[in-house]
Amino acid sequence: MRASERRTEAPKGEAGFMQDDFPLIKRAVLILAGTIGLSILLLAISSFALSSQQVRRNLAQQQFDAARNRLLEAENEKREVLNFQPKFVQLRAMGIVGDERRLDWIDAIKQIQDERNFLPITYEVFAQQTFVLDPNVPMANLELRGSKMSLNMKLLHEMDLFNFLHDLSRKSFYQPLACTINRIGATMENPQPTGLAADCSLLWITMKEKQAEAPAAQ
Amino acid sequence: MFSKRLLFLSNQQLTAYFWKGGKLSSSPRIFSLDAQGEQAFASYLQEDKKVPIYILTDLVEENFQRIAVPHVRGEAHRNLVTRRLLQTYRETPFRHATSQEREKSGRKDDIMLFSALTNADLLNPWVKMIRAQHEPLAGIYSIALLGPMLFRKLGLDIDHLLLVTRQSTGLRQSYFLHGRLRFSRLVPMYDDAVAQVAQRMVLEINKTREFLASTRLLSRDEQINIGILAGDDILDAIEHGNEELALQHHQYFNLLEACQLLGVPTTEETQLCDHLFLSVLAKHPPKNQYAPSGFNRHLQLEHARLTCLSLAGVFAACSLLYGAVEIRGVWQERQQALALDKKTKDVNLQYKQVLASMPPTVGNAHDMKSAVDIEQAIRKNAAQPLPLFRQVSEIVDKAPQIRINQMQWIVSDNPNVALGGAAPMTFQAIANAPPPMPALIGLPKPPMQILLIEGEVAPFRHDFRAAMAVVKQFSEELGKIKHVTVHMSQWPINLHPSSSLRGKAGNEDPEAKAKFALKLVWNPNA
Repeated sequence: MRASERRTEAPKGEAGFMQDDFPLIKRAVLILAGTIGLSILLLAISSFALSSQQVRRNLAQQQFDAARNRLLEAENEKREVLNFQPKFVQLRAMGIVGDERRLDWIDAIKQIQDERNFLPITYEVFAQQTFVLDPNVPMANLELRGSKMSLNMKLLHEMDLFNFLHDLSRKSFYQPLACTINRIGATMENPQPTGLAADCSLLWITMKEKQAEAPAAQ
Repeated sequence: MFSKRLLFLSNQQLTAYFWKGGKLSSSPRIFSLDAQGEQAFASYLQEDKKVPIYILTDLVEENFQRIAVPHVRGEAHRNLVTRRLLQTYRETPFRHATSQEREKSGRKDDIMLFSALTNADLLNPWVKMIRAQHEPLAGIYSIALLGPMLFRKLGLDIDHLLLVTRQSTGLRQSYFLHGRLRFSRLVPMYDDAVAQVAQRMVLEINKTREFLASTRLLSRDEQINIGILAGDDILDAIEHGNEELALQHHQYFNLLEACQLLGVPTTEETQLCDHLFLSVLAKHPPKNQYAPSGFNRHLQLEHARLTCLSLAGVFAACSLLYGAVEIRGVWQERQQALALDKKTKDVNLQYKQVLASMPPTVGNAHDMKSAVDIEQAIRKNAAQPLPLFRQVSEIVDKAPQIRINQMQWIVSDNPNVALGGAAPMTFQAIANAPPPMPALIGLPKPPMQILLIEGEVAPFRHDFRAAMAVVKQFSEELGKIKHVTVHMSQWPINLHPSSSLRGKAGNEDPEAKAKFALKLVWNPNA
């Protein structure tokens, strides 16, 4: 082989590759590039479609959960209405639920005093206060309120006090907090006491819907 | 990639075979070494484009030289070998170097076997056409250099071996020393008659032996193994007709059996080793031998092209598979969404039915439940003084010496709350007290009740010992009440060593009293 022939067989450089060799694989490279492009496009489209459907399904799930919760709540509410409404109406009639009925209390005390022929009873009802309840105690939209009342009465017998408290509990909803019974009637001439006196502290209990927040001052 | 084009080049012609499915084509194409043959070959190249081409040569003009080169490594070794190879065979680009061994003494140079197809004009026309048509040329090989590929399978003794094979080109004899090729020569042979072929074989073998002896490659009395690969009839003719050859060590290999050992398909008519070497080359192509660097550029391009197409196929398959999985996911998500929609619709219908059947209400259901629950809890847990007073009264009735002056009852969450004093809590004190704690009305559990009893022992008669006994007895009886603990606040007389004690013996004070005080703590939760 001549030297000139050998030179023509030598490997070609970068420019030679692009000019002579690349056309031989150009189609395959284009197919590869096209396939990669189409693959990416397919993956993008399918991923987008999947994520869209997932969003759609999640939305449907949320709607279903909300509807189911609403149904459960309605069923629960219906059950509670059926179970508790009669008693609730009764509580409302007794004045346990709703506004304080101080007039009813006064009438009740007077009525008991008359019926039992008790000695005079002195009482004083103080301003209503709201209980601060543990958050775990379910109160729904109600507030538990209490009005303290101090009570002073003279007794012929210690059972007078307990009869009074018993009768009062049938006419109202209260909780005794403290009671003191002591002997009275001792004089200089007769140092031995002749009677009894009772001092009690009671708590009238009512429940009422929470008041809406007062609007801010202008 | 599983098909190959095999070109067998001799001094007489170019024979083209097609290798497919592990077999050579039964009808090879033959091209004469002239313009007409080249024209036919150009057309042939158009037929099976892009199939790799392997050129196997069996030419008289193949030269072998053992040359010592300084022992260097790496790039320096390659440069040195390339330079010496160029110096040795300037007239042809089809040259090859194989490292055989190192010298035992001196500089311990590398012994290289340089070989070349010295008549480049025999190859150039074909190679040029292959390259001109951008066909992938895998390599150029020679039968002499393929010889070692037969050693292991045929179990040849390779210490001193003269391998004799007969091709369509003639009789090739290759001499191997310790498995390394030292020399090879091709003798054209145009006779086909068995006797004449056998006779010529023996003649040429003897000539080669003489040549080896004269070139001191082999001493005259040294035995040489002769491996003859030929058909049975020729082997019989050699064995029975030539006593001179019989004296030598020799191994005869029936060509058909050799083909079977090497896994080469044969026919009954197989008498030449052409197919054997072509098949060995096709099945296990060694590294390129004679093709100059750059000649296989189109093969590399073909590999690149196939790699691109394979990658494209892989990408397409993977993306289609992934896409199919995703589309399946889309379908499943859609089915689930539709099912959920239907369930939501059903639930909404049920909701409407529940609302329709809801009785008229006077308030919020949760408020009603809470109000009832709270009211019941307070009624259940609320403290009432009567039960404790009643039990204390029963005990007092059984203790006639005990006179109660005052009883102070209180609900508390603190058992140590301070009590005492005759004065009841004033109205103002009650009004100013902080909001009551829920615990005092029984939320969430019944509160403690504390009862302070103040009294005296009557009649006293100034007998402190008797008074102390009565009070002690009284406190013990009170302590028997369930859930009650009794704490003495005041004894009729203070006997504690840490306090002072004042009294009067004789002429006692008639107004003196044996007063006491004790505190009951009733804890229903204990």
